[in-house]
Amino acid sequence: MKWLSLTLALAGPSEAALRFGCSTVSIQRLDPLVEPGKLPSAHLHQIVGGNGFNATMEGDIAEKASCTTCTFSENFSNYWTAVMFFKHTNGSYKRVPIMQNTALPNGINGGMTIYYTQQDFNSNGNQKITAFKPVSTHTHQVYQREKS
Amino acid sequence: MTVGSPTYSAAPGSKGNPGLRFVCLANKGTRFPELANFPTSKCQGGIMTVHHFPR
Repeated sequence: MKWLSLTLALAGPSEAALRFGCSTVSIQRLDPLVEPGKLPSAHLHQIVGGNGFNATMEGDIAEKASCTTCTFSENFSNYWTAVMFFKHTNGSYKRVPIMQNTALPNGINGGMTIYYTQQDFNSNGNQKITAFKPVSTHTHQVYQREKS
Repeated sequence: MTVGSPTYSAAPGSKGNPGLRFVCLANKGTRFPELANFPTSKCQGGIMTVHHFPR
């Protein structure tokens, strides 16, 4: 019954979490998730991750991207956020840059920190963690359902 | 997956956008508390936004 004891050992307490930094890959008025195909999108985004980012993204990104600004080179996902502007007293606007996370090694330029956790760093919670599904029409349908 | 809405406008006492939280940084190592709304006072170390998925 050696295999059983091994299984029990693996099933013991473990805290699984993944954290990595991603530098800016582009700053564009594009949003393939909220406004797929719209050129330009309604507002500006800062984008990190793979070089497969586009106005429309269908299918498996792993087949379309060849490199990434994230520190795990196996992951070609993109992550993006709205850009914030500072309004000066003279009425002009300046884009607010994103600072690097001091907890990560130097060299992540204008980047984001991505976390994949089951619940948080100290607990696995009671949910199973699965990979994000590739961006597809399914993703768009889910979003449209949320909007309506 | 998305978090937040660009058309959202915080009302007093608002719980904010589900999944979207702000941290007013005293220094670059500050991580808590996570606020539901954008800080209205000066944050010495900057402002960190946290996007929780799924929201």
